[in-house]
Amino acid sequence: MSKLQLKIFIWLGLLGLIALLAYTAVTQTAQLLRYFQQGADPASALNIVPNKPPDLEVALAWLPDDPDTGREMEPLTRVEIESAYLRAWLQWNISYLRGEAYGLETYFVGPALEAVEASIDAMHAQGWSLQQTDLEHHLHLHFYSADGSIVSFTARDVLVAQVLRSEGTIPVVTEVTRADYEVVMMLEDGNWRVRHWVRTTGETLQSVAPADPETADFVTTKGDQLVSNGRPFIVRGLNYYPKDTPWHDFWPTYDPHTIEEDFALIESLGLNTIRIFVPYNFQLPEEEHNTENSPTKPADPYVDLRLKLADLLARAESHNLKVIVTLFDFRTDYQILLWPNANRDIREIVPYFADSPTILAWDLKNEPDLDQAGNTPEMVNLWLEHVAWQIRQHDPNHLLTIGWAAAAQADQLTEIVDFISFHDYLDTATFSGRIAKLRQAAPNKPIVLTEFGLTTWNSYFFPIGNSEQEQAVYYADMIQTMRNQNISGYVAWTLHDFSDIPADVVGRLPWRTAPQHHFGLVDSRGNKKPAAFLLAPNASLEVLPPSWIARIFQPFWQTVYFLIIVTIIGFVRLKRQLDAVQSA
Amino acid sequence: MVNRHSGILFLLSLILISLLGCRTADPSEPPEFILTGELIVDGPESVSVGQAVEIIVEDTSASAPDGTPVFLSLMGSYGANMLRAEFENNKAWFYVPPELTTRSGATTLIATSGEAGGKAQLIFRPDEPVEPITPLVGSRSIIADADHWAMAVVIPFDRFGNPIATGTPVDIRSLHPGNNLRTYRPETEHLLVWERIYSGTKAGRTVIAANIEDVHGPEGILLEIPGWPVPYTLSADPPNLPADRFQLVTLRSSIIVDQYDNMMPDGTQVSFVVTGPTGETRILPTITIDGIAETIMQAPRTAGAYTIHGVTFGIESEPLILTFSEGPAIEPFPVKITIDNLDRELDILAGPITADLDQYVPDGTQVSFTINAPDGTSIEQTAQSDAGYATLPLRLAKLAAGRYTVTVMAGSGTGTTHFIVPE
Repeated sequence: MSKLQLKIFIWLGLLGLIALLAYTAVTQTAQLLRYFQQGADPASALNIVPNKPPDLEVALAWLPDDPDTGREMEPLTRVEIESAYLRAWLQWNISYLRGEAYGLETYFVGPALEAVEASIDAMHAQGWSLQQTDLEHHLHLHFYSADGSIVSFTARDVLVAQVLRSEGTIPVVTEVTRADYEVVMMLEDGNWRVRHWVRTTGETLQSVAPADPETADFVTTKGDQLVSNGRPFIVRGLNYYPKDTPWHDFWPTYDPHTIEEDFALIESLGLNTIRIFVPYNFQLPEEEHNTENSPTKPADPYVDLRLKLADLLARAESHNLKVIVTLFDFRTDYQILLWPNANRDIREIVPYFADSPTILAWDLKNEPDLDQAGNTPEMVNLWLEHVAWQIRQHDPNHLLTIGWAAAAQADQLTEIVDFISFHDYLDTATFSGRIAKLRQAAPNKPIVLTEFGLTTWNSYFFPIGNSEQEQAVYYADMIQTMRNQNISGYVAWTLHDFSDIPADVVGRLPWRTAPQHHFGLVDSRGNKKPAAFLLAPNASLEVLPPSWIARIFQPFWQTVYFLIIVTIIGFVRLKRQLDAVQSA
Repeated sequence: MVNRHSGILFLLSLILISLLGCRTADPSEPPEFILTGELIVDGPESVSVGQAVEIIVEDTSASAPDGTPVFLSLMGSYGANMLRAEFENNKAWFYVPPELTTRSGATTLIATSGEAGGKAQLIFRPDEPVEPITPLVGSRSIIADADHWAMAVVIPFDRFGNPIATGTPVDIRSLHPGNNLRTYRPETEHLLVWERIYSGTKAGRTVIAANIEDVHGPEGILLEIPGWPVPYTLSADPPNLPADRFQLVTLRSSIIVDQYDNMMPDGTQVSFVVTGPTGETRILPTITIDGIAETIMQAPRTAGAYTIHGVTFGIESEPLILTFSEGPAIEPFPVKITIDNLDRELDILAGPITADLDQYVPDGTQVSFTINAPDGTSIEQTAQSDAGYATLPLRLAKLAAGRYTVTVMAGSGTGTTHFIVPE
């Protein structure tokens, strides 16, 4: 590099730095000016704080009122009482979470206020902590005073989840109870407050009942087998996302034409099942919220989701495919105050499809064992139990399962699922042992492998990767093992190679994201890889391993050989030059 | 040599001690015991609040070593409490102190030890009611027509603030105006009792009290107020006045009562609506005192019959018709012209203008002057009377030459004259 070139590089670098600093200064100054020129929202001047936070998803329904309630209740008053009552529970729950009475005087009064404050103080003084959340209420109005200041009602079937633990220890008691409460609320200072409530009945919830479908066309269990229409049903399927819109883009950009084409392809491969994912707290993309721009699209995201899911199920049925619907995808927060939000997902989805025999099972959560580290195993499992119970209340027909990330974790909560499912991306040689161990833990439950696969990514720079032939060998080994172990089926990952992988799936590191692009059985050009032909029921599993020539000429090794050759040539040329200098 | 062996022995001892210290567990030590199976939670089905309770938890498998911890949680109306005990001969004994049993309601008992668990339910009954038994009365006032009603609500509680037991009878008494006593005996349901208190037909103050046997409390007050008025009559004093815009007439209602002769309370608003002979209306608002509404009306300018209604809560009184006679002047009166050539001014002087008793009309009576010019045009002017006379000055410079006719009117009295403005 000449001196002139060096100077040019230094100047270019300085110019770039100056440009960056100027850009930063201008943008930051502009943001500061914009901040100071923006006025407050006029509505905020009223400082009206709603009693019920808009994201509080605790279910509340009014039962028919008593014939004589003293006075007919106005709709607005009913809303106010409902909000104040729910907020009273929320404030109590928050106080337990904080370990101190917090803001309760706004929502409780008289004996009730004393009692809730005392209960929180006593719990804290004894060295115990209680986390609780209310999940569901059904209010039955008995009395509304003539002057509109006193109301009496029964809160029936109040579901309350409680986790009781000594400070810093694992939970001692984790229960969801169902109770009835007699409640008296009074209007004071313009606010409805709880003056009394008395728990009149209480029970802990029964365990999750097994699926009991009304008709034979649902997939159900018989011993350790899945059955449909009285015959054994072996799951042979694929985890499914469209090629160009996987993960977060799937539902917002749902395209029936693509689904139709892909399902026809899956059917042609001899498969009978797909596994799909429904994200937690489903939201529409921003532009679809604006019904003026798209008047035909519903503003309620759940309505939109239900329409799309119904379409998907209809198309799956027309291609003789069953569907495992995995709920709560990407949910990682299991704290108890957010359980009502999970209930809302269930309420808004599950009952609408309870009678669909196309659904094979509800998968409660994808790989919840990976979330146990960030939460606690007890909280994750308690949440799973609760979700299973909730789904069963809405849907007695469909099987329940949990898609554990590893066979070693799949022996948890076997009592609440109808069949055990797990994922396996480990060595094929030890796969048989993992299944055997799992079967030993739950001998009477069907076992389905709901994720397995091998990427065909072959890097020139990292010593990892596989060829399509190696993928086929992997599939042949896995399927042969499952046939030998007589498990109830498998669902491979996945149909397509993907061009885009969201960062929250496997992060941003290239050696982690790159393999994710190539797990498909169909490559990005639409060509089927050899492994695609191994999943069918009677597919021959005789796959030749890659030749030794193919192995030693994998891309990474090609890079190594190239570097070696370049190094040798460089060394030889250097030696010649040195010899020439010496001889000179 | 000895030192050498000692050194080796010392080194070996150190290694041995280190190995012993580093061992993780004694293989002969039994693994931690985790109880499984069912626990029986034995205790009373129900007790009164504030009483200590003994609960025994029994291990049905009879496998729990003595000292195995057992936890008992009590999930009641207001949260949970947790107690800890240990098994002894497969039984754990829990003492629930009175301070943990002060809240009534159904309490779920959950015993846990390891993976074993058991459940039971314990009802805490509320205690006897304590004073005060306070009747909450609403609405605060109702119409005394034997049809409207208010409510008396009582939320009796025990010494811990718990609502008392369902089905407890509460005596409620209401003493209405006219010494009309009524009694009620509802029973508590959904934490309270309530009763409709119907009004009587006599307006006044109703006292409401409640008690449970010998447990008493303060009174509640209910006002029974008169209902809609029945039509009433109006009177005027004096009944006849000239339409002179000056004199005042007092309008007065009869005593305004409802259908049960209950007088309207003081301050009841009454509007006197006055409709003139040409249909124009005036509204004179007032209020009642001792059931009577009274207001002052100024005599109108135009003579004729005026119809007056009193309106209270939309109820109209009987109509009152007042006739205002012509006035204030009755007879013709003289009109004189004086010309002041020096100031180039012409004064039209009307008077004396007299009323019905030949007295001057009141000062300030409006007098209208109509001046017809020789070219056919006319000038309208007004002036106020003062001590029976009214004067209208005119500038001669503004008047064209010719003969002018002047007509002056004050009420129904008139006067005429003419004058000539020279060239």
